[in-house]
Formats: sequence, structure tokens, C-alpha cells
Amino acid sequence: MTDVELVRILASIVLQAAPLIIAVCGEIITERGGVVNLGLDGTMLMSAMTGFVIALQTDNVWLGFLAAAGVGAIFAFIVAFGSIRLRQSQVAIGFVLTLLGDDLSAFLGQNYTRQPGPYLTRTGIPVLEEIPLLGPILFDQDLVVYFALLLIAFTWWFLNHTQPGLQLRSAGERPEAAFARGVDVNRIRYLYTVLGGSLVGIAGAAYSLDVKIGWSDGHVRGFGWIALAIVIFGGWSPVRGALGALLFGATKVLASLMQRQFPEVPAVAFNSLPWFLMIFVLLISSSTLTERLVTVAPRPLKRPLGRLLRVAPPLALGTRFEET
Amino acid sequence: MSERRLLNWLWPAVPVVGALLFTAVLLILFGASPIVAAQAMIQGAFGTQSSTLNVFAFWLPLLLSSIGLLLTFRAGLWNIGIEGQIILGAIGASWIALTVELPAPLQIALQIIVAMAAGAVWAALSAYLKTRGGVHEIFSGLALNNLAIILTNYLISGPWQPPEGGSFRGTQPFEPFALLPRFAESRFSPPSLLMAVVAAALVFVLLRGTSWGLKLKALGKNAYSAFLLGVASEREMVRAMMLCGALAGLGGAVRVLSWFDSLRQSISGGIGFLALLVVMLAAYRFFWVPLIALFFSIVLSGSITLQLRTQLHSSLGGILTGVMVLFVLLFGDPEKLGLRARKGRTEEVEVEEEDEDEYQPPEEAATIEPVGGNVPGGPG
Amino acid sequence: MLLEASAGLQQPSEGRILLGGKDISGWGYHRLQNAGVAYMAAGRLEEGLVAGLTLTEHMVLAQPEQTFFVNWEEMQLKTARRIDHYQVVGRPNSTADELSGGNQQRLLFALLNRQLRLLLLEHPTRGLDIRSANWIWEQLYERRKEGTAVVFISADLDEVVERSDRIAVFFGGRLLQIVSAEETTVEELGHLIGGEL
Repeated sequence: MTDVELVRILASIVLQAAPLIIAVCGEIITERGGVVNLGLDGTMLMSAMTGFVIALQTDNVWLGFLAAAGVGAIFAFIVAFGSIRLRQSQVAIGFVLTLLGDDLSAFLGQNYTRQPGPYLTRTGIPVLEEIPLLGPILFDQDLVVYFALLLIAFTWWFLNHTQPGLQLRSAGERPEAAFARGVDVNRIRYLYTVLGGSLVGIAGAAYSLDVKIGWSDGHVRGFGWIALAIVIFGGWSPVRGALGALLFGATKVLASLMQRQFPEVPAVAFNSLPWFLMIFVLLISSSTLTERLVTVAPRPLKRPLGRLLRVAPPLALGTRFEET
Repeated sequence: MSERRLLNWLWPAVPVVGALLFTAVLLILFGASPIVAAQAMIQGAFGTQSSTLNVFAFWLPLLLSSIGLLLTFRAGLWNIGIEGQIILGAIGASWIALTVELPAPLQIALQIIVAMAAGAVWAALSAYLKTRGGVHEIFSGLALNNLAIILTNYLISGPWQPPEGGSFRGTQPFEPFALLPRFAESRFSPPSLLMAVVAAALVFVLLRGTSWGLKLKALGKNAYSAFLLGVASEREMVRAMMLCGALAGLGGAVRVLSWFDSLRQSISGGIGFLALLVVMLAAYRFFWVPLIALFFSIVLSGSITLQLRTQLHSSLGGILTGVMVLFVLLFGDPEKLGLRARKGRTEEVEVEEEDEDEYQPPEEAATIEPVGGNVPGGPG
Repeated sequence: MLLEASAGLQQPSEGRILLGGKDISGWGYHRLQNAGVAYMAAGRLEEGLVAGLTLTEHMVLAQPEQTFFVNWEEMQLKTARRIDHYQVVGRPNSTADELSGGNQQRLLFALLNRQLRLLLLEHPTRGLDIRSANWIWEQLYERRKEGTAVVFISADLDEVVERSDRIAVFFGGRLLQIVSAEETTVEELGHLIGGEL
């Protein structure tokens, strides 16, 4: 395999991972505040469809992205409103939205399936794209990739080094204590659930307008669930989450490469890879298994291994907060 | 007082009407008349004797799955993997149908036993991933659903491909002796109805009259307290999942042995997800489950006819049911909307307004477990 | 931590746990439960009772021998007798969360089996009025007379000194000292808790 080929493969892995990174960052922001938006899969289907249709109608890719972000925000608002104001189960609402988004996108997009439409074109970043190796992999891409890369850094900085980020985390970890210190927990939860949802919407449009161009029934089905799994695998951290997204991107690229290489192996072997990977990464990040691993590890390895593998959800994730 | 009683009595209709309005608006947007569409749906469901019977044929696997889900929901488990459990049941039954030849009653009995076992095994995978591996059942279930679909496609296009090949996306039709006897010219098989009734009675007794049902209830409400009180939480969760998987597998067997006559690409047809909606809409109450499942069957059967008549996508049925469940979840409980606390509120239109001052006192604390990789299902 | 380890809820990384001279390290909670060890956690409604379940349902769950089919009428009567005996203010059909804190604690006692070898309690009287607290101590003394070893932790030093035979003081994750209750005072205990020998 030549170097040029390797660089091309790595670049396509980054491209495949980019929408997942955006969705993962969105969901991390949401969950760090204590709300689970389980409707990701339906949201991404709806926003992928909306983004494509609007871009096609207006011949403007950016309006497509904008509309997709709006759809994501609406779905997220339903989750937030239902769980905060109406005190219903976040899981139940998110799950119904997943199914509804699937059917609704199929119905509303029925006249736009398998049509050519506008898409995002590649724009290299001057100077940066000249960097050997890294340039072609990261900086000779399109805006979705750059947005994803910036979003990782921004989300990390925002969560760990800003005052609003601290407030967000306190709403997700110890809402009562945060409330006592004057943080309006439920307002924060509304705000970041909707913000996270609009990022998920952008991720959906990133598929239909860039990575997996076009629309058909169930076009991006499954990616939302994968993003939710990556959030757990990434331990609710954007940097680790991005690594997880790259892992899934790599699996996808490698699977299609292998399929071309070995046509005699049934496609089933490659199609099932992401789902095995999903179970595998969740097993790794589960506390039961990690603790067992850490206990049997040799003494000098115990601490670093624990730090590497142990992840914990925000303490108040999925619970309601009442201001009384 | 009487006005408020009337409101409480009428209230459940509001989300349903809302869902119908929502769907009607969608139809108008797509240039179709809601009235014509409704007629087409009703025609599709009840137009002929066989179409009515087909509604019931669709209803049975849905009912079996929903009843199974009552067990897992009772134990506080989100068995989203039920879709895969139905598919595995269908695969199990097909495997016997394609490879074994026995006298008819034995053949069918074996097919059904294998189907139930296959569904139970698929559910057990999900359950053990939770209890031993700490993977939330929503995620393992979802992955296993997709793996089940991939497995079906592989079987249909590989080892079980019909000899003549062709574009027909399914195995060759099973021998007549392997199929469940059907009623008249329909897909409805009376023996399946009998099995569903027996299953429903069984689950009812389990939930109401046995210490096992009580253990599941305790687990669902507070898994840790239940554990401290002496409930073997992990074992009971696995059992609940497996029994649900077996019922779903039975549903899958009914799909291949009477709805179709072979293993098809989309063998489950989303029945597992639909069953989750049925149980949610029923608010986990036993007696509502068969009725809601029947209503959903009518809508879904009707929407297929609608697609044939008006060229509109058949996902409309799914939208109607999904919106209905969403609206019931959101607005179904007037108490949670703060409506009951008010006096003289009779017009339902005014619900949109919110009044923070008259907030109801919080009832019990949230018991939703975080959807994380590591869920406190008991002490690790 | 100590109580959870003794109850089999946590496994110690080193050392052994003995019960009546028998090594029980590594035993699970339910195995110990059958061997006569009971554990009563501090959070009554979070770690002990199930909100939404009735008192009768709790009784059925806590029974050592369960039949598969539940005879609800018989259990109802049995529960009525039991809550009468333990002075729980409530009906067999009330749910656990409808009870007051003191009555929840009484219910937990009513659910305990007779003939325990070891009873482990976290903050047994926290948040209770004096009458309920005294009643609980009567119950515990009675248990002690029947031969049950009672181990409790409490943040109320007066209570610790007044009610114990021996007091184990931990500091910084280590056992500092075991003192006799008759020979110590609240002041001395306070120093010990601060790590001052």
C-alpha cells in the first residue's frame, strides 16, 4: 500500500467520523446538563431529510444546514419540555421521537428520494493543507470536517474552562447544590438540550449534504444510536468521544475496503461490524468489567488503567429536578 | 365539580384528536383529502371479510409481543431488543420448516418451540450483557436488532436462497404441512389466537398472583431496595427478559407460519417497536393492551391500502400511532399539566397557557435510571 | 463501608470477615441474608423499602420461604397482625411512601426475620422523634437478649456512648481504637474521631 493511498484512507476516515463527532458533541452538551436525548436517531433522520430538501428547493446548502439545525432544536425541545415541565420519562419521549422521526422523514421526504441535489464541495485551507501528511488528512477536506474539529476543541474548552460550562456541569452533577448557589438548573437544561439538539440536526444534514449525499428512506438510520453509544464510550468527554467517532469511521472505511478486496466473503461479515463494535465499546466502558480488569491488572498498571478505562455518567443524568 | 369531572372523563380523547388533526394536516399538505384517506384506511381494514381477518392476523404477533413487554416493563427494563427477538423467532421457525419433515402437528409444535427458544436466547444475550457486562439493555437490544436483520438478509440471500433464485426477497414457500392452518382466504390462523389467549392468561396470572410477578414489580420500582429485601435481581431480570423473548419469538413464528409462508426480508415489519408503543400508550395496564394493539393493527393495515390507493407513503400509519403516543405521553395526564388544580376550566383549548404559580406539588421522585453504560442495577 | 462489607454488599480487597468464627469473606449478600445477617441502610425509602409497593407486598417479599402463588388474603391478615405488633401507623394496603419516617423504620423492623445472628444498622434513629427512637432501642435491646449481635453506626455521639457496649473508632480509613462505652466520654470520642489519640 502506497503512502498516497494510506493518506487517502485516513482522510476518508476523518470525513466519515465528522458527522458523528458533531452529533456526539451535541449530545455530550445535553447530557452533561443532566438530560438524555434518546431521540437522536429520529432527529438525525428528520434533519438529514429536511436539510437535503431545503437545500434542493433553495439551491442553497447553508439554508439546508440551518433548517436541519432548527429541526434538531425542535426535537430536543420536545424532550426538554416533556421531561422538565411535564415531568415525563426522558427515555420514553426520546424513544417515541426516534420512531416518529423515522416515519415522519420517510413520509415528508417521499417525493425527494434518490434525487441528485446540491452538496458541500471540498475547500482546502490554504497553507495548512501544505503540511505534509497532516495537511491532506485534516485540512484538504470540506467545512463539515473543519467544523467538527473546531467543535471538539470548543466543547472541551467550554466544559472545562468557562463559567457557563461549569454551571452546565453542576446542573448535571449536583442540581440541588447548583440551585442553592443560584444556578437556574431547569433553564440551563432547556438551553443546552436545545443547543445540543441543533448540533445533532447539523450532523444529520452533514450526512445528506456531504458524507452520504442525498435522501432515501432510512438514509442515516442507526447513526444516532451509534452516536449515543460513543457518548458513553467517550466518558462524556468530547476528546474521547471524537476518538470513538474515529474508531467507528475507521470501521466503516475498512469494511468497505475489505469488501472490495475480498468479494467472496459475504457482506454480512462487514455490515455487522459496527454493531459488534457498539456492544464491544460499551462493554469496555461499563463499570463492572472495568473494575474487574483493574483489579486483576499488575500493580504498577492499576492506576493508569483505571484512569484510562473508568468513565462515569453525570450523577444526575436522566433525573428530574424540582425547585422545591 | 361536575364540569371538572366531565373534563377528566373527556381528557383522554384530547391527545387522540390532536394526533388525528396532526395527521390530517400532513395529508392536506400533500394534497390529499383526509376524509378520502380515512375512508381508504377503513376500507383497507374492514372492506372485505378477508381484510378484516387480516387485521386480526396482524394483531396476534403484536399482541404476543406487547404482552411479553408487560413483563420487562414491570421489571423496569427497556426491552428494545424485542424486534430482534421476533426476528430470531421467525428464523428459528423457518429453520425447522426448511430442514425437518414431521407429521403436521408435531412439525408445527417443534417449529414453535424452536422459535420461542431462539427468541429467548436473543433476549438472554441482552439480559446478560446488562447483568454481567453492565451494558444498558437499550443499546444491546438495538445492536442485536440490527444483527438479527443482517442475519436474515444473509440467510435469504445465502444458505436459504430459493433454488430458482430470482428477485423474490425471501426463502421459498414452506410445505403446507409446516404452516399454521388459516381461516378461509385470509392470513388469520385460529390456533395462533388460542396461543395468544393462553399467553395473555399466563402473563396476567404471573403479574397478579405470584411472588415472581411481585418481585418484578419491586425491581421495576426500586431495584436496590428489592435486592436488599432479598430479590435475586439479576436472575429475575434475565428470566423476565427471556420469557418476553419467548413470547416475541412465538410472535415471529406466527409471522412466518401464517402471515407469510416463508422467511422474508422485513419479517418483523416493525412489530416489536409498535409493541413498545402499544404498552406505553396503555400505560402498562394489562386490559388496555389488546384493545390498543387492535387499534394499531387497524391503522397499520389501513395505511397499506392507503398507499395503494393514493400513492402516499405507508409510513402515515406509523406517524399516526407515533404522534398519538407522544401526545399521550406529553398531555395525557391532566394532573401533570396542572389542570386539575384549577377551578372552572372546561375548555380544552386553553390548555396551551401555562401558569407557574399553580404548580402541583411534586409527587414521587424520578425513578428513571440514567441511560449510561453503567447503571446501578444492584451493587456491582 | 464496614457495614456494607460485613453484609456482603462490597467485597474487601484484603483481609477476612469472620462470623461466629467462620470465614465468610466473599459471600454474597443473599447468602449472608440466609445465614442470619440483616442490613438496614440509612436511606429507608431508597435502600430498604420500595415506594409504591404496599405493606402486604413488602411482607410477601421479605418472607424467607415464598410460595410461587401468593395467598393475598392470608398475607393481608398476617401483615395486619405484624404491623399491629410493631405499632406501624398504616394499613396493609398503604404504600411504603405514604408512611412517616418513623413508621417506615418500624416497618423495616417488622420485615426483619426472627433469629438473626447479626444485625447491621446505619444511622438507625436519624431524623426520628424521641418516641420512635426509644422504641427502636427497645427493639434492639430485645434482639440482643435473643442473641443477635447488633452493630450500628451513628453520627450522634451521645447516642453512641449511651447505647453501645463497645465503640470502634475509624479515622482516615483505618481502625484507630476500640473503646469500652463505660470508660469513655463524648469529649474523648470527639478527639478520637479527629484522629487524636
